[in-house]
Amino acid sequence: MSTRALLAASIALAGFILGVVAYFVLAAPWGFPPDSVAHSNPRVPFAPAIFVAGVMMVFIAAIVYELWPGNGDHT
Amino acid sequence: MPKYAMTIDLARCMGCRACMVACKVENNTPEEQFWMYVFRLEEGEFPDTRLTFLPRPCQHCDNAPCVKVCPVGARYKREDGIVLTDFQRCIGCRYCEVACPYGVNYFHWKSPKKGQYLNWNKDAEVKERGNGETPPWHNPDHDRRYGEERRLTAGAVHYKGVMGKCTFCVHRVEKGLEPACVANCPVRVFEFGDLEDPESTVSRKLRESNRFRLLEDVGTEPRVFYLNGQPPTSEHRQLDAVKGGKKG
Amino acid sequence: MSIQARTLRDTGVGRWGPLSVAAGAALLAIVAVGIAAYSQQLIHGEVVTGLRDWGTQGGSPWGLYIAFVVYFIGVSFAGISIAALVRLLRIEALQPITRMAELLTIVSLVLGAFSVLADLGQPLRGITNLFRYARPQSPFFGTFSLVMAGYLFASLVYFYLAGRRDAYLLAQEPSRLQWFYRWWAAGYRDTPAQRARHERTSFLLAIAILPLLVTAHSTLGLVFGLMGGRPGWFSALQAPGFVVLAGVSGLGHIAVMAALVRWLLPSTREQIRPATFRLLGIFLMVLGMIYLYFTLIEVLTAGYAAHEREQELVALLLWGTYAPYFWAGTVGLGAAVTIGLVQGLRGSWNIGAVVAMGILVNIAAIAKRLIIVTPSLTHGSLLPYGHGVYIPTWVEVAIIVGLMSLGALAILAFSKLFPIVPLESEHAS
Repeated sequence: MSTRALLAASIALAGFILGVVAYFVLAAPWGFPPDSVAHSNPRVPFAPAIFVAGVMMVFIAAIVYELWPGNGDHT
Repeated sequence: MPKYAMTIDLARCMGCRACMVACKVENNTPEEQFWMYVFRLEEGEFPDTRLTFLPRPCQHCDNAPCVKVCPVGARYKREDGIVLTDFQRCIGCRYCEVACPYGVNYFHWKSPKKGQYLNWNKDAEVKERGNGETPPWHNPDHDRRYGEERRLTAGAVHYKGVMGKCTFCVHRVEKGLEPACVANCPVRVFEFGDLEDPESTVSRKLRESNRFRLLEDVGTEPRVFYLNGQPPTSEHRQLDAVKGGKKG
Repeated sequence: MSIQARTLRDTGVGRWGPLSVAAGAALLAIVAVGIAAYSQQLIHGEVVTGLRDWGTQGGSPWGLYIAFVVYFIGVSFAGISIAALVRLLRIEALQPITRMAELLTIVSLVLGAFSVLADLGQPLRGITNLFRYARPQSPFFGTFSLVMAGYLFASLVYFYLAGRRDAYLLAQEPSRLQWFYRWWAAGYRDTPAQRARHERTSFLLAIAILPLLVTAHSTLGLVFGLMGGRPGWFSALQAPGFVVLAGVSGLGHIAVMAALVRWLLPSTREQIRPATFRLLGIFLMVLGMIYLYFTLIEVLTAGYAAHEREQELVALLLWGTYAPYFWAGTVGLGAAVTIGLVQGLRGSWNIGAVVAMGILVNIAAIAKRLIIVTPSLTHGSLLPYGHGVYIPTWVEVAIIVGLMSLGALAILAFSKLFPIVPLESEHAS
């Protein structure tokens, strides 16, 4: 696997994991019924921003993959 | 931790709407907003008609749809069961209002100060009513923060573009007082108290009377219990609907 | 076709003819009216709109703004679905419209975000507090995070990467925007290795964005479908219905846009061929049929033996207050499907007819969005409040029309910066 592919794959994976973790562990917990104040606050401040960043990272990987310099850029 | 609940004895209610007025005075709700509302309902065809009354505060549901849908956690349920709005966090999307089947939410379409019945910007007019002084335009207790989280939750006086609704008069409850509607009812329709305490009036009344909760089949688990009456049906029509006009 | 054959001149880039200037100025004027309307709303609050609380105020707390949030986000369906069709199924005839479809997606998503802001009582808090406190339990979470962040960002990435080749070609010629093309190309030289790499990423991106597309439009449907206390909304059909109607309005939009580009830029006529419109027409027809089927099932379920409030709402749609909207929507879709069927049977697809289908389905989609949002709020009360009314004010209308003009202006401006039709087929050479 090339550095480029490895890098892109790891960024995408990291972004995905970040998104999943932020959604299930860092953001406000689900509640059925939502009978406590705990359901209204994220467990870590700015957890939704972290989730969004994770989703974005997955797609940033594509840019990294294409723009990473080297190998075949010049003919 | 107490578990607050309210009982409404429909056999006692005579539809005087003193609770609506008490709520307005206590919470300084702007024009056209009724955190407490009393349905005056008619049923049957003339001459065989029957009148019933149904007070409608916020139901402070245990499975509150408004709390579930709030995108930012501004609408939340305290451990003691009171459902409140954090006026400093609310973004004004009105999703809670749309999700609530009881129609208890009132949005501040304009600045709450502008919406008052008396225009505080016209000083002379206010002074005349205030015996030569300009009284504060709202209850200062609303500016204090309540509960463990110290959130701004009391009264209807804070910002335009946020949602408001009945708070069970959280600023009075925190002082050990009853909500304004309960305290001001001339015939003691309402009781407010702790469900955890088997000796409280609400617990005793719930044991002794027939009871129902509004729209039980929607699964919201209200903390407001109606005693000695029947839930409204589609046969009921409003006698004198209090409608807000379209005026600005 | 060689690169030289279609230079900057033929693509319309950098050329502001009298028509473009007039159109731009008119759009700008409408946007200005929209901004004036919005400033009224900011100063006085949403009292200047026709929105009011449901219940004792007898109004509807959601109206035109939310209907157009749904509509704009629906239109965004076009871009990625066309890109995915091209990438995954190798449909070459759609290749020339991929860029304008992607552009439409990005623009309409931004317009959707603006409509949300127009609806919020505290728009500034909307921007900060959503990033700070947003709760996954709220159906809005998906709209905010997946649609606005994920879907929009993914489309931007796709758009950027797919445009690098053209940017490289444009950077070869001297022009005032050469620096911009160089920046966009970012080292792209169209070598076989780079081309292969781009093939791989765009394929993977298309696969990754497709589930996002379904999720995004579904979450928007769930905003309504999950509300157990609202007759007319609470339905498992909402989410899939939103996905299908999004497809209908998005593809309809792109058909109109493609015809417009083809008409205004004669150099693109060789690329955007009748075959392109035939495909769009077929997709429109099929999706339109699916949506008509959904409508039938919805009306049947709510009208047959449901809760009496559901039945009342169906009556309201079929012959009550909201009947004009319902029938505009249903007949519009039906007419579009019929036009499609006739052309399909004749075996020849006329560009004008497909454009007519596109316009019809969009009118239908707007009507349909309006009757998704308001009837349940004005007439869906489970308590005896009585009925409400909702009539939008000029402020709401001006803001929505202003947003549409803003979108059109953005597309017009972009077409002057960059060829709106890819310079040549990426697979030719």
